[in-house]
Amino acid sequence: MRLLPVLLAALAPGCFISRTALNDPIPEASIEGLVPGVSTAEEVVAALGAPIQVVELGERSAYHYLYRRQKRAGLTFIVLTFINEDNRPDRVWVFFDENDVLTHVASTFSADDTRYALPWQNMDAGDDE
Amino acid sequence: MNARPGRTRLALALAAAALLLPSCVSFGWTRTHTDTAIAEADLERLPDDAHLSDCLALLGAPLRVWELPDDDFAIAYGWFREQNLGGRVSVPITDFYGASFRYDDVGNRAHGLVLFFDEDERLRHWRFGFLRDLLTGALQEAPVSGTLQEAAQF
Repeated sequence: MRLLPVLLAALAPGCFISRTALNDPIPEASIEGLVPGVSTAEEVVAALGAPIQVVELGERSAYHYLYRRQKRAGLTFIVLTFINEDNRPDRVWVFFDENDVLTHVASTFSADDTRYALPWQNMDAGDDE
Repeated sequence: MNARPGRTRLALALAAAALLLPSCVSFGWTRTHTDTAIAEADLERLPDDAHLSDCLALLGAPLRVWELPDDDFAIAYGWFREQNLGGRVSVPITDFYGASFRYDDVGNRAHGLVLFFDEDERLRHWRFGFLRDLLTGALQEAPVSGTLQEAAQF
């Protein structure tokens, strides 16, 4: 009986969770005011801030905005370790014509769907929700 | 009378093994999920003369956008699913040197989709495959070299 606490301490599972983020969140509402054919590059930058990337497409251009969230969960039981990692972005690309007028806005907001899980859980299940 | 010391020794041995075993033997199951996968069936919803706006509306924001010759351009989507089932055994040989054996089963690599557009933003064609291969092939057409490393990053 005196050894029971030692055995319990040795056998007790270890677990951890961690959360990391890359860049500042992109407010979804901030792209609602962007109007293709009307909004200018200056107005887009005023609404979204500085992009992480600017791409030249001939005379045209495209700006890239990214916020990424990662959640990790792990469980260790003596010699067995289970770790799951889920990464999902909020991503926006805005396209401009040769006069720096907005032509297209493409957005994906999935960072809020990032979740803690273990390896046997299906992470694709929530992708289309 | 003799059974009790025997049980104690067994319990001590089990406790010692439980404490010491993880340093030389370990097994793991690691799973990684990055971004939303796109299926070939998703692209069947595009109209025949699909425009950039149709693709962006259907697929969302791409991972990368880059310029091609003659004012053409391409956009890429990527996703990553990986499962590692592995074990590790380390055996000390001398006081200063040891040997270890490691086995990993990497189930998947990063996959991707690249869509190619002409200067009028009309979809010319698309290609599915491993993202690294797609970007390597597509970027060889690009007028700006040196963007491969950047494009390969998530």
